[in-house]
Amino acid sequence: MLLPFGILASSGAGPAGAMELISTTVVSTPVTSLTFSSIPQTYKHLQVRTTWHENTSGYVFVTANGHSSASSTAVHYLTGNGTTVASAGNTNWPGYWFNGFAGAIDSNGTSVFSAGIIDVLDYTQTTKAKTYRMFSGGPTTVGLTSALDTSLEAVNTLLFWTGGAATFSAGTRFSIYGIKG
Amino acid sequence: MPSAMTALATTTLASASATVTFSSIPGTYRDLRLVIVPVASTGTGDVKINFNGDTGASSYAQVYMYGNGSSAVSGSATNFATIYASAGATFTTAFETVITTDIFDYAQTDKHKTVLCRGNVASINTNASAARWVSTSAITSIVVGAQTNNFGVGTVISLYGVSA
Repeated sequence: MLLPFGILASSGAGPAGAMELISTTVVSTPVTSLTFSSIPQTYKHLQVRTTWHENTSGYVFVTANGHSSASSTAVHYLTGNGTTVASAGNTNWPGYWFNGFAGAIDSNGTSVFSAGIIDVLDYTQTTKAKTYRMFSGGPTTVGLTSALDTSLEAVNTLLFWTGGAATFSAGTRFSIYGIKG
Repeated sequence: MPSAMTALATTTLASASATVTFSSIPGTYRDLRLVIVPVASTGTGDVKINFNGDTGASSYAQVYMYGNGSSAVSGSATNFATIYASAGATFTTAFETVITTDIFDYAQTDKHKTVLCRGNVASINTNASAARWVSTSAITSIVVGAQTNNFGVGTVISLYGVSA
């Protein structure tokens, strides 16, 4: 069955809906971090969608609200590397950051990007800790991650950083969306 | 503020079909999302995805993992002629399968196309995979195909554009 596109698909914007783009950043010069700040507090959840490449093996770490001292987080990973499935976790992660995309370390050819989706649920609520759910993959790994940040602060800033000597390459893109509820 | 996710096309099959094709996909979005709810016309089948009619022997690479209730498995290949949207699991004659496929930067011509698939087949497994179309061409058409047996009546396949 062939479904050609017509006028319904010719425009890039539809009527108002539950998912709205807040901001997009596309890297033109290599950087070690990207920040979304002053995140509007008018949505129910956030979603971050990204494609990224790093110049050498690295990670994508996530820090909320500029935390710079250890706070209590919990994180669990499930990864497949093409040979085995592995799981790791820590229910008392003594850091203010977590590895957002377990196993999706990519330093392959310049045309080969990894991709990921992060959901931050109930990000504005000051009566509950913040739950992060991540799905990611690249040329050599696929991973599912869940993380809990026990801070009761509403999330207003998200920092994504590589750690070590790695930089996000040109063409890396991070987009953040608000989900109404 | 306009919605960031736009429904581009949906089909609900009224008769069995081996494929559902989305053509002339506009390049005005950033990502695409497929939501696939397949049922087999008979027996079982695999859900395959191909871009721009490319069925070359080494046009796709994929790494996957799944859990089937008794074991967890991971595998990979760099010489696929298609993307298998639900790794390790076939769809059946029961409505028990939901697959989401995210295609990132589909219109960008500076990178290969990265795809994330999540499949859930209630009687078989839950699975996740990362795939890549080894091409820097913009995606303008997608064929969602059934391998072995056809998609049956009631199969729903929807395509969405995600703006950025």
